[in-house]
Amino acid sequence: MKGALFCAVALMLVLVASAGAYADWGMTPLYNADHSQSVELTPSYSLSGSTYTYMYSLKNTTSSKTIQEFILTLPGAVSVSGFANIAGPTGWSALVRPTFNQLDWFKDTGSSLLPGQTFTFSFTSSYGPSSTAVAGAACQDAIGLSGQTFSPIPEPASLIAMMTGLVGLVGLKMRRK
Amino acid sequence: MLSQVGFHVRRKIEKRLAELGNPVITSKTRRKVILKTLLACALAMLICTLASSAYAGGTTTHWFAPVMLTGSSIDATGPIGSFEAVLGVTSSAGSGPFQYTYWITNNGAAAMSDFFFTCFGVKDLQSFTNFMPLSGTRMVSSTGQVYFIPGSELQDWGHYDVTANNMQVAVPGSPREWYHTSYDEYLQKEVNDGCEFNWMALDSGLTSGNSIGFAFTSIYGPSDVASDIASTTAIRSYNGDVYGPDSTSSSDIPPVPEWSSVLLAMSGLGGIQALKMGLRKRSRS
Repeated sequence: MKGALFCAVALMLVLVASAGAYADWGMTPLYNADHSQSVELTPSYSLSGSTYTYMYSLKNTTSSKTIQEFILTLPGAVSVSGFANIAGPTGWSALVRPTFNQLDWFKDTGSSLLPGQTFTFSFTSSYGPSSTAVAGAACQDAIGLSGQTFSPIPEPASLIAMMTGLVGLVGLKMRRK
Repeated sequence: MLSQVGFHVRRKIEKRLAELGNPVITSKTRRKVILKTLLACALAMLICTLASSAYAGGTTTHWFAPVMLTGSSIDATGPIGSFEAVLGVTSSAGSGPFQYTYWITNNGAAAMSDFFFTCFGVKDLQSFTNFMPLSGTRMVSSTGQVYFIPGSELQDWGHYDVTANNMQVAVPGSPREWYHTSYDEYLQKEVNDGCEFNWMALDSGLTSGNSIGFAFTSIYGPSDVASDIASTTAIRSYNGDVYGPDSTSSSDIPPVPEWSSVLLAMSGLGGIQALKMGLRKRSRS
Protein backbone atom coordinates (compact mmCIF):
# COMPACT_ATOMS: atom_id res chain seq x y z
CA MET A 1 0.00 0.00 0.00
CA LYS A 2 2.81 2.33 0.93
CA GLY A 3 4.56 1.47 -2.29
CA ALA A 4 1.49 2.24 -4.33
CA LEU A 5 1.07 5.51 -2.51
CA PHE A 6 4.70 6.34 -3.14
CA CYS A 7 4.32 5.62 -6.85
CA ALA A 8 1.15 7.70 -7.09
CA VAL A 9 2.83 10.61 -5.32
CA ALA A 10 5.85 10.29 -7.59
CA LEU A 11 3.63 10.30 -10.66
CA MET A 12 1.73 13.31 -9.35
CA LEU A 13 5.00 15.14 -8.78
CA VAL A 14 6.20 14.35 -12.28
CA LEU A 15 2.95 15.54 -13.81
CA VAL A 16 2.79 18.68 -11.66
CA ALA A 17 6.39 19.47 -12.47
CA SER A 18 5.90 19.00 -16.19
CA ALA A 19 2.60 20.88 -16.28
CA GLY A 20 3.42 24.48 -16.94
CA ALA A 21 7.07 23.59 -17.16
CA TYR A 22 9.00 25.50 -19.72
CA ALA A 23 11.77 23.86 -21.63
CA ASP A 24 13.77 25.03 -24.56
CA TRP A 25 16.09 23.33 -26.97
CA GLY A 26 18.66 26.03 -27.19
CA MET A 27 19.20 28.59 -29.87
CA THR A 28 19.48 27.60 -33.54
CA PRO A 29 20.90 30.09 -36.00
CA LEU A 30 19.25 30.47 -39.39
CA TYR A 31 21.69 31.48 -42.09
CA ASN A 32 21.49 32.92 -45.56
CA ALA A 33 23.36 31.28 -48.44
CA ASP A 34 26.80 32.75 -47.78
CA HIS A 35 26.37 32.82 -44.00
CA SER A 36 26.81 36.60 -43.97
CA GLN A 37 23.44 37.10 -42.28
CA SER A 38 21.76 35.16 -39.54
CA VAL A 39 18.90 35.29 -37.07
CA GLU A 40 18.46 33.33 -33.86
CA LEU A 41 15.63 30.89 -33.36
CA THR A 42 14.87 29.43 -29.93
CA PRO A 43 12.14 26.80 -29.76
CA SER A 44 10.50 25.92 -26.46
CA TYR A 45 7.38 24.27 -25.09
CA SER A 46 5.15 24.12 -22.05
CA LEU A 47 2.59 21.54 -21.00
CA SER A 48 -0.82 22.27 -19.63
CA GLY A 49 -2.97 19.20 -19.03
CA SER A 50 -2.48 17.12 -22.13
CA THR A 51 -1.93 20.06 -24.45
CA TYR A 52 1.49 21.28 -25.40
CA THR A 53 2.15 24.88 -26.32
CA TYR A 54 5.11 25.36 -28.64
CA MET A 55 6.83 28.68 -28.97
CA TYR A 56 9.47 29.76 -31.43
CA SER A 57 11.27 32.96 -30.49
CA LEU A 58 12.91 34.61 -33.45
CA LYS A 59 15.53 37.28 -32.79
CA ASN A 60 16.68 39.49 -35.63
CA THR A 61 20.45 39.70 -35.19
CA THR A 62 21.12 41.37 -38.54
CA SER A 63 22.17 45.00 -38.73
CA SER A 64 19.68 46.30 -41.27
CA LYS A 65 17.51 43.47 -42.54
CA THR A 66 13.86 43.27 -41.66
CA ILE A 67 11.99 39.97 -41.36
CA GLN A 68 8.53 39.77 -42.88
CA GLU A 69 7.86 36.05 -42.99
CA PHE A 70 8.59 32.98 -40.92
CA ILE A 71 7.94 29.48 -42.20
CA LEU A 72 8.10 26.37 -40.05
CA THR A 73 8.12 22.97 -41.72
CA LEU A 74 7.20 20.09 -39.44
CA PRO A 75 8.39 16.52 -39.84
CA GLY A 76 6.26 14.17 -41.90
CA ALA A 77 5.06 12.20 -38.89
CA VAL A 78 3.22 15.23 -37.57
CA SER A 79 0.20 16.73 -39.23
CA VAL A 80 -0.11 20.50 -39.00
CA SER A 81 -3.83 20.13 -39.61
CA GLY A 82 -4.23 19.19 -35.95
CA PHE A 83 -2.49 22.29 -34.64
CA ALA A 84 -4.57 24.96 -32.92
CA ASN A 85 -4.22 28.44 -31.44
CA ILE A 86 -1.70 29.45 -34.09
CA ALA A 87 -0.53 32.88 -33.05
CA GLY A 88 2.08 35.38 -34.09
CA PRO A 89 2.94 39.05 -33.65
CA THR A 90 0.17 41.62 -33.91
CA GLY A 91 -0.74 42.30 -37.50
CA TRP A 92 0.79 39.07 -38.80
CA SER A 93 -1.31 36.35 -40.43
CA ALA A 94 -0.75 32.62 -40.32
CA LEU A 95 -1.31 30.04 -43.02
CA VAL A 96 -1.59 26.29 -42.51
CA ARG A 97 -0.32 24.36 -45.52
CA PRO A 98 -0.95 20.64 -44.95
CA THR A 99 0.52 19.58 -48.31
CA PHE A 100 3.95 20.75 -47.24
CA ASN A 101 3.28 20.38 -43.49
CA GLN A 102 4.06 24.06 -43.08
CA LEU A 103 3.00 26.85 -40.81
CA ASP A 104 3.59 30.15 -42.53
CA TRP A 105 3.45 33.42 -40.62
CA PHE A 106 3.70 36.61 -42.63
CA LYS A 107 3.48 40.31 -42.00
CA ASP A 108 0.07 41.63 -42.89
CA THR A 109 -0.91 44.94 -41.34
CA GLY A 110 1.70 44.83 -38.57
CA SER A 111 5.32 45.82 -38.55
CA SER A 112 8.33 43.80 -39.62
CA LEU A 113 10.73 42.17 -37.21
CA LEU A 114 13.41 44.84 -36.96
CA PRO A 115 17.07 44.39 -36.04
CA GLY A 116 17.46 43.62 -32.33
CA GLN A 117 13.79 42.70 -31.86
CA THR A 118 12.37 39.30 -30.95
CA PHE A 119 9.01 37.98 -32.11
CA THR A 120 7.33 34.82 -30.82
CA PHE A 121 5.32 32.42 -32.94
CA SER A 122 3.25 29.76 -31.20
CA PHE A 123 0.72 26.97 -31.59
CA THR A 124 -0.77 24.21 -29.46
CA SER A 125 -0.78 20.50 -30.13
CA SER A 126 -1.51 17.21 -28.43
CA TYR A 127 1.79 15.95 -29.76
CA GLY A 128 4.59 15.86 -27.22
CA PRO A 129 8.22 16.80 -27.73
CA SER A 130 10.74 14.54 -29.29
CA SER A 131 14.41 15.22 -29.60
CA THR A 132 14.61 13.32 -32.85
CA ALA A 133 12.06 15.35 -34.75
CA VAL A 134 13.56 17.99 -36.97
CA ALA A 135 11.74 21.07 -38.17
CA GLY A 136 12.88 23.36 -40.92
CA ALA A 137 12.61 27.05 -40.31
CA ALA A 138 13.01 29.86 -42.78
CA CYS A 139 12.66 33.61 -42.87
CA GLN A 140 11.79 33.74 -46.47
CA ASP A 141 12.21 36.89 -48.45
CA ALA A 142 15.14 38.60 -50.04
CA ILE A 143 17.39 37.45 -47.20
CA GLY A 144 16.50 33.80 -47.46
CA LEU A 145 17.59 32.58 -44.05
CA SER A 146 16.98 28.96 -43.23
CA GLY A 147 18.08 26.17 -40.98
CA GLN A 148 16.96 23.18 -39.04
CA THR A 149 15.96 23.06 -35.45
CA PHE A 150 15.61 20.05 -33.19
CA SER A 151 12.13 20.71 -32.23
CA PRO A 152 9.79 19.57 -29.61
CA ILE A 153 7.48 17.64 -31.73
CA PRO A 154 5.22 14.75 -31.06
CA GLU A 155 4.94 11.94 -28.87
CA PRO A 156 1.69 11.77 -26.97
CA ALA A 157 2.58 8.07 -26.85
CA SER A 158 5.59 8.42 -24.54
CA LEU A 159 3.64 10.05 -21.73
CA ILE A 160 0.91 7.42 -22.00
CA ALA A 161 3.55 4.66 -21.94
CA MET A 162 5.17 6.11 -18.84
CA MET A 163 1.85 6.36 -17.02
CA THR A 164 0.85 2.82 -18.02
CA GLY A 165 4.18 1.54 -16.73
CA LEU A 166 3.74 3.27 -13.38
CA VAL A 167 0.17 2.01 -12.98
CA GLY A 168 1.40 -1.48 -13.81
CA LEU A 169 4.15 -1.19 -11.22
CA VAL A 170 1.68 -0.10 -8.57
CA GLY A 171 -0.64 -2.96 -9.50
CA LEU A 172 2.19 -5.48 -9.29
CA LYS A 173 3.24 -4.25 -5.85
CA MET A 174 -0.34 -4.38 -4.53
CA ARG A 175 -0.81 -7.91 -5.86
CA ARG A 176 2.40 -9.13 -4.16
CA LYS A 177 1.16 -7.79 -0.85
CA MET B 1 7.70 48.76 -99.11
CA LEU B 2 11.13 47.37 -100.00
CA SER B 3 10.29 47.41 -103.76
CA GLN B 4 9.26 51.08 -103.46
CA VAL B 5 12.57 51.95 -101.85
CA GLY B 6 14.37 49.94 -104.56
CA PHE B 7 12.48 51.83 -107.27
CA HIS B 8 13.44 55.21 -105.81
CA VAL B 9 17.08 54.15 -105.46
CA ARG B 10 17.12 53.00 -109.06
CA ARG B 11 15.55 56.29 -110.24
CA LYS B 12 18.20 58.14 -108.34
CA ILE B 13 20.96 56.10 -109.98
CA GLU B 14 19.52 56.79 -113.43
CA LYS B 15 19.32 60.51 -112.63
CA ARG B 16 22.90 60.52 -111.41
CA LEU B 17 24.11 58.74 -114.56
CA ALA B 18 22.27 61.27 -116.71
CA GLU B 19 23.92 64.08 -114.77
CA LEU B 20 27.32 62.57 -115.44
CA GLY B 21 26.40 62.90 -119.10
CA ASN B 22 28.71 60.14 -120.10
CA PRO B 23 27.20 57.09 -121.79
CA VAL B 24 30.45 55.22 -121.41
CA ILE B 25 30.76 54.63 -117.71
CA THR B 26 34.25 54.01 -116.39
CA SER B 27 34.81 51.09 -114.03
CA LYS B 28 35.75 53.52 -111.23
CA THR B 29 32.51 55.44 -111.57
CA ARG B 30 30.54 52.19 -111.76
CA ARG B 31 32.17 50.93 -108.59
CA LYS B 32 31.34 54.22 -106.90
CA VAL B 33 27.71 54.04 -107.99
CA ILE B 34 27.41 50.39 -106.90
CA LEU B 35 28.92 51.19 -103.53
CA LYS B 36 26.54 54.08 -103.03
CA THR B 37 23.63 51.86 -104.12
CA LEU B 38 24.62 49.15 -101.69
CA LEU B 39 24.90 51.66 -98.87
CA ALA B 40 21.51 53.12 -99.68
CA CYS B 41 20.00 49.62 -99.86
CA ALA B 42 21.49 48.61 -96.52
CA LEU B 43 20.11 51.76 -94.94
CA ALA B 44 16.72 51.21 -96.56
CA MET B 45 16.68 47.61 -95.35
CA LEU B 46 17.49 48.70 -91.80
CA ILE B 47 14.73 51.31 -91.85
CA CYS B 48 12.32 48.75 -93.34
CA THR B 49 13.13 46.16 -90.70
CA LEU B 50 12.73 48.62 -87.85
CA ALA B 51 9.56 50.12 -89.27
CA SER B 52 7.89 46.80 -90.02
CA SER B 53 8.91 45.40 -86.66
CA ALA B 54 7.29 48.33 -84.87
CA TYR B 55 4.25 48.21 -87.15
CA ALA B 56 3.69 44.48 -86.66
CA GLY B 57 4.34 44.71 -82.93
CA GLY B 58 7.35 42.42 -83.41
CA THR B 59 8.74 41.18 -80.14
CA THR B 60 12.07 39.79 -79.09
CA THR B 61 12.96 37.83 -76.02
CA HIS B 62 16.21 38.35 -74.16
CA TRP B 63 17.26 35.19 -72.37
CA PHE B 64 19.40 35.75 -69.31
CA ALA B 65 22.09 33.26 -68.42
CA PRO B 66 20.87 30.53 -66.02
CA VAL B 67 21.36 31.23 -62.33
CA MET B 68 21.73 28.41 -59.85
CA LEU B 69 19.89 29.20 -56.64
CA THR B 70 22.04 28.63 -53.59
CA GLY B 71 20.77 26.93 -50.47
CA SER B 72 21.73 27.95 -46.98
CA SER B 73 22.29 24.44 -45.73
CA ILE B 74 25.01 24.12 -43.15
CA ASP B 75 25.56 20.47 -43.93
CA ALA B 76 27.71 19.32 -46.82
CA THR B 77 24.98 17.88 -49.00
CA GLY B 78 25.60 20.50 -51.64
CA PRO B 79 22.24 22.03 -52.38
CA ILE B 80 23.69 24.19 -55.18
CA GLY B 81 22.17 23.17 -58.47
CA SER B 82 18.89 22.04 -57.01
CA PHE B 83 17.12 24.94 -58.67
CA GLU B 84 17.93 26.69 -61.93
CA ALA B 85 16.41 30.08 -62.74
CA VAL B 86 16.32 31.54 -66.24
CA LEU B 87 14.83 34.96 -66.91
CA GLY B 88 13.24 35.74 -70.25
CA VAL B 89 12.29 39.36 -70.97
CA THR B 90 10.00 39.96 -73.93
CA SER B 91 9.47 43.43 -75.34
CA SER B 92 8.53 45.24 -78.53
CA ALA B 93 11.54 46.81 -80.20
CA GLY B 94 13.33 47.07 -76.86
CA SER B 95 10.79 49.42 -75.33
CA GLY B 96 8.21 48.79 -72.63
CA PRO B 97 6.00 47.30 -71.44
CA PHE B 98 8.19 44.33 -70.68
CA GLN B 99 6.98 40.85 -69.98
CA TYR B 100 9.17 39.05 -67.46
CA THR B 101 9.10 35.30 -67.02
CA TYR B 102 11.22 33.59 -64.41
CA TRP B 103 11.60 29.95 -65.40
CA ILE B 104 12.45 27.67 -62.51
CA THR B 105 13.59 24.09 -62.99
CA ASN B 106 13.65 21.75 -60.03
CA ASN B 107 16.73 19.53 -60.20
CA GLY B 108 16.51 18.54 -56.55
CA ALA B 109 14.57 15.79 -54.85
CA ALA B 110 12.01 17.74 -52.81
CA ALA B 111 9.06 19.58 -54.31
CA MET B 112 9.15 23.39 -54.47
CA SER B 113 6.43 24.98 -52.39
CA ASP B 114 7.06 28.70 -52.98
CA PHE B 115 8.62 31.13 -55.38
CA PHE B 116 9.65 34.56 -54.11
CA PHE B 117 10.66 37.49 -56.26
CA THR B 118 12.02 40.69 -54.74
CA CYS B 119 12.42 43.77 -56.91
CA PHE B 120 14.59 46.44 -55.34
CA GLY B 121 14.54 48.81 -58.33
CA VAL B 122 10.82 49.61 -58.35
CA LYS B 123 8.81 50.76 -55.33
CA ASP B 124 5.43 50.70 -57.00
CA LEU B 125 3.34 47.54 -56.64
CA GLN B 126 0.71 48.88 -59.06
CA SER B 127 3.21 48.86 -61.91
CA PHE B 128 3.30 45.05 -61.91
CA THR B 129 0.40 43.45 -63.78
CA ASN B 130 -0.70 40.35 -65.73
CA PHE B 131 0.60 37.77 -63.27
CA MET B 132 0.60 34.28 -64.70
CA PRO B 133 2.13 30.96 -63.69
CA LEU B 134 2.97 28.98 -66.83
CA SER B 135 3.90 25.46 -67.78
CA GLY B 136 6.82 25.28 -70.16
CA THR B 137 9.42 23.18 -71.91
CA ARG B 138 13.11 23.73 -71.29
CA MET B 139 15.21 23.92 -74.46
CA VAL B 140 18.91 24.34 -75.16
CA SER B 141 19.97 25.95 -78.45
CA SER B 142 22.96 24.82 -80.53
CA THR B 143 24.96 27.65 -78.96
CA GLY B 144 24.15 26.37 -75.49
CA GLN B 145 21.61 29.04 -74.67
CA VAL B 146 18.85 27.85 -72.34
CA TYR B 147 15.38 29.02 -73.28
CA PHE B 148 11.78 27.94 -72.74
CA ILE B 149 8.73 27.35 -74.87
CA PRO B 150 5.75 28.58 -72.85
CA GLY B 151 2.78 26.26 -72.41
CA SER B 152 -0.56 26.77 -70.74
CA GLU B 153 -1.50 28.93 -67.79
CA LEU B 154 -1.43 27.03 -64.48
CA GLN B 155 -4.20 27.19 -61.90
CA ASP B 156 -2.44 25.31 -59.12
CA TRP B 157 -0.10 28.18 -58.23
CA GLY B 158 -1.18 31.49 -56.71
CA HIS B 159 -1.57 32.53 -53.10
CA TYR B 160 -3.81 32.22 -50.06
CA ASP B 161 -5.70 35.12 -48.56
CA VAL B 162 -6.41 34.98 -44.85
CA THR B 163 -9.80 36.44 -44.04
CA ALA B 164 -10.76 38.28 -40.84
CA ASN B 165 -12.11 35.06 -39.28
CA ASN B 166 -8.88 33.22 -40.14
CA MET B 167 -10.27 31.35 -43.12
CA GLN B 168 -7.84 30.57 -45.93
CA VAL B 169 -8.99 31.37 -49.45
CA ALA B 170 -6.95 30.18 -52.43
CA VAL B 171 -6.41 32.77 -55.16
CA PRO B 172 -5.05 31.07 -58.31
CA GLY B 173 -2.70 32.91 -60.65
CA SER B 174 -1.56 35.96 -58.77
CA PRO B 175 1.10 36.06 -56.05
CA ARG B 176 0.86 37.61 -52.61
CA GLU B 177 2.42 41.07 -52.97
CA TRP B 178 3.79 43.52 -50.47
CA TYR B 179 6.41 46.20 -50.01
CA HIS B 180 9.80 44.93 -48.99
CA THR B 181 11.46 46.99 -46.29
CA SER B 182 14.86 47.50 -44.75
CA TYR B 183 15.87 49.17 -41.53
CA ASP B 184 17.31 52.66 -41.86
CA GLU B 185 19.79 53.02 -39.00
CA TYR B 186 19.95 56.80 -39.41
CA LEU B 187 16.17 57.33 -39.39
CA GLN B 188 15.76 54.41 -36.99
CA LYS B 189 12.71 53.06 -38.78
CA GLU B 190 11.83 50.65 -41.55
CA VAL B 191 11.63 52.09 -45.04
CA ASN B 192 10.20 50.64 -48.25
CA ASP B 193 12.99 49.57 -50.53
CA GLY B 194 11.18 47.46 -53.11
CA CYS B 195 8.35 45.15 -54.02
CA GLU B 196 8.04 41.51 -53.12
CA PHE B 197 5.94 38.72 -54.58
CA ASN B 198 5.25 35.20 -53.36
CA TRP B 199 3.65 32.53 -55.52
CA MET B 200 2.54 29.58 -53.43
CA ALA B 201 1.78 26.06 -54.57
CA LEU B 202 -1.93 25.46 -54.15
CA ASP B 203 -1.44 21.78 -54.86
CA SER B 204 1.61 19.51 -54.71
CA GLY B 205 4.16 22.09 -55.90
CA LEU B 206 6.91 21.79 -58.50
CA THR B 207 8.19 18.24 -58.44
CA SER B 208 11.66 17.07 -59.38
CA GLY B 209 12.66 17.41 -63.04
CA ASN B 210 9.90 19.85 -63.94
CA SER B 211 9.89 23.53 -64.91
CA ILE B 212 7.52 26.38 -64.24
CA GLY B 213 7.38 29.98 -65.42
CA PHE B 214 6.26 32.92 -63.29
CA ALA B 215 5.26 35.75 -65.63
CA PHE B 216 4.26 39.35 -65.11
CA THR B 217 4.34 42.65 -66.98
CA SER B 218 6.01 45.89 -65.98
CA ILE B 219 6.59 49.22 -67.66
CA TYR B 220 10.07 49.26 -66.13
CA GLY B 221 13.07 47.79 -67.90
CA PRO B 222 15.21 44.84 -66.79
CA SER B 223 17.86 47.05 -65.20
CA ASP B 224 15.23 48.19 -62.69
CA VAL B 225 13.19 45.03 -62.30
CA ALA B 226 15.41 41.95 -62.46
CA SER B 227 16.81 41.29 -59.04
CA ASP B 228 16.56 38.83 -56.18
CA ILE B 229 14.74 35.53 -56.48
CA ALA B 230 14.23 32.60 -54.17
CA SER B 231 12.48 29.29 -53.94
CA THR B 232 11.57 27.16 -51.00
CA THR B 233 11.37 23.45 -50.46
CA ALA B 234 10.17 21.67 -47.37
CA ILE B 235 13.25 22.32 -45.28
CA ARG B 236 15.51 24.72 -47.13
CA SER B 237 15.30 27.95 -49.01
CA TYR B 238 17.38 28.76 -52.07
CA ASN B 239 18.35 32.21 -53.25
CA GLY B 240 19.92 33.87 -56.23
CA ASP B 241 20.25 37.17 -58.05
CA VAL B 242 19.27 37.92 -61.61
CA TYR B 243 20.46 41.33 -62.70
CA GLY B 244 19.41 43.55 -65.55
CA PRO B 245 21.49 44.06 -68.68
CA ASP B 246 22.97 47.29 -67.36
CA SER B 247 24.89 45.43 -64.72
CA THR B 248 28.22 43.74 -65.11
CA SER B 249 26.75 40.26 -65.17
CA SER B 250 26.78 38.24 -68.35
CA SER B 251 23.06 38.51 -68.62
CA ASP B 252 22.78 40.59 -71.78
CA ILE B 253 22.30 37.63 -74.03
CA PRO B 254 21.58 38.46 -77.69
CA PRO B 255 17.92 38.05 -78.57
CA VAL B 256 16.70 34.90 -80.23
CA PRO B 257 15.96 35.99 -83.82
CA GLU B 258 12.36 35.89 -84.93
CA TRP B 259 11.24 34.38 -88.23
CA SER B 260 9.73 37.67 -89.41
CA SER B 261 13.06 39.46 -88.97
CA VAL B 262 14.95 36.68 -90.75
CA LEU B 263 12.51 36.81 -93.69
CA LEU B 264 12.81 40.59 -93.88
CA ALA B 265 16.59 40.41 -93.86
CA MET B 266 16.50 37.75 -96.60
CA SER B 267 14.13 39.81 -98.76
CA GLY B 268 16.41 42.81 -98.27
CA LEU B 269 19.40 40.85 -99.51
CA GLY B 270 17.34 39.65 -102.47
CA GLY B 271 16.48 43.26 -103.26
CA ILE B 272 20.15 44.23 -103.30
CA GLN B 273 20.96 41.33 -105.62
CA ALA B 274 18.13 42.34 -107.99
CA LEU B 275 19.39 45.94 -108.05
CA LYS B 276 22.91 44.81 -108.77
CA MET B 277 21.70 42.65 -111.64
CA GLY B 278 19.66 45.51 -113.04
CA LEU B 279 22.65 47.84 -112.85
CA ARG B 280 24.87 45.30 -114.59
CA LYS B 281 22.32 44.95 -117.43
CA ARG B 282 22.17 48.72 -117.78
CA SER B 283 25.95 49.15 -117.95
CA ARG B 284 26.18 46.40 -120.60
CA SER B 285 23.56 48.07 -122.79
